[in-house]
Amino acid sequence: MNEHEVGKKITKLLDLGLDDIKQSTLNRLQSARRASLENYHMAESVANVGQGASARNGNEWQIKTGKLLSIIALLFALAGIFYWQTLQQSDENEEIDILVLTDDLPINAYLDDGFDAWLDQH
Amino acid sequence: MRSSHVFSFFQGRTLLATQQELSGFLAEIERRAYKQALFAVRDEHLALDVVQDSMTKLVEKYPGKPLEELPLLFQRILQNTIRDFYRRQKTRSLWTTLFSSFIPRNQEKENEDYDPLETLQLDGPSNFGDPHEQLEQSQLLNLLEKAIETLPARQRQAFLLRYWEEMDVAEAAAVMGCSEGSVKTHCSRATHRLAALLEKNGIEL
Repeated sequence: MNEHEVGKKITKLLDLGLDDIKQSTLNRLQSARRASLENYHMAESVANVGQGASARNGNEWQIKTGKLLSIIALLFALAGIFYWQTLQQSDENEEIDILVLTDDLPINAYLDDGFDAWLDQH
Repeated sequence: MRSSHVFSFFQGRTLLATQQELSGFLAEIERRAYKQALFAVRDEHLALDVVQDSMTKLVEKYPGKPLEELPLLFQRILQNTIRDFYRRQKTRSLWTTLFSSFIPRNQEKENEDYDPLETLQLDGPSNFGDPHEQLEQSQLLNLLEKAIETLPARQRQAFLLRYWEEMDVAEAAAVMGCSEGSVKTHCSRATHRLAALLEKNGIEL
């Protein structure tokens, strides 16, 4: 007997086994089929909107809004960082000014040639 | 160009499967699909889940397909769902082995759901015949199903697709995502193994 015949005989036996499936299982299969077919209406209505373009428009719009929102968030974050950095820089200048005004400069400041030049200028 | 495209679109639309046809198709293949899933996952509830998942995917993703394309599509979805199940089981078993020492052993509880009425079968009028012959046949079937369960997954898949689903080599290769040559190899190995196993148990085909 060749391979094909053996295969066919075995599957014929398997076909007989299909009749032995429990009734409860058959019922569950039936309800599974019904549940899956309930989605058919939705699928059909989406497919019938038009030639695909209008049906997809909503989706694309959502994607665009998402991108736009993330770009805006990024810009805000960048602006925040820039603002924070300039704020810190002015803080440093302020500190030096206060030290000069209160004569609390460290000794190293007077040893610095650049500082003398800066004082001459003012 | 565009008008011909529109024409073919409407022409194709007439051949698409209606809901009744889809329902008929699913009713026709559901038992075999269930058995295929059962051979692979070896658990009734999981097999039913696999079949329902596959049906839902078919209906949701391919409602506009012609009827003759459905068998191949459904088989592809079913095999993918079974493969996904294997993957999920792999990761789950990894976690359960990692945490098994923390989990209290209360597996006996699972058997409480067992209802003897579920397995009780009524003999319908079609079951008349020699009881001895019937017993022999059911034993043979049992043995065969166990044998198919023990086959390597790819061999079982190739065998069932080729002979049970009556696909040709090219179709089976498309479903399995491999070459036609390896389908033939898997299939022939599976057949020889099954034949040898049945022969060993004194059953001649």
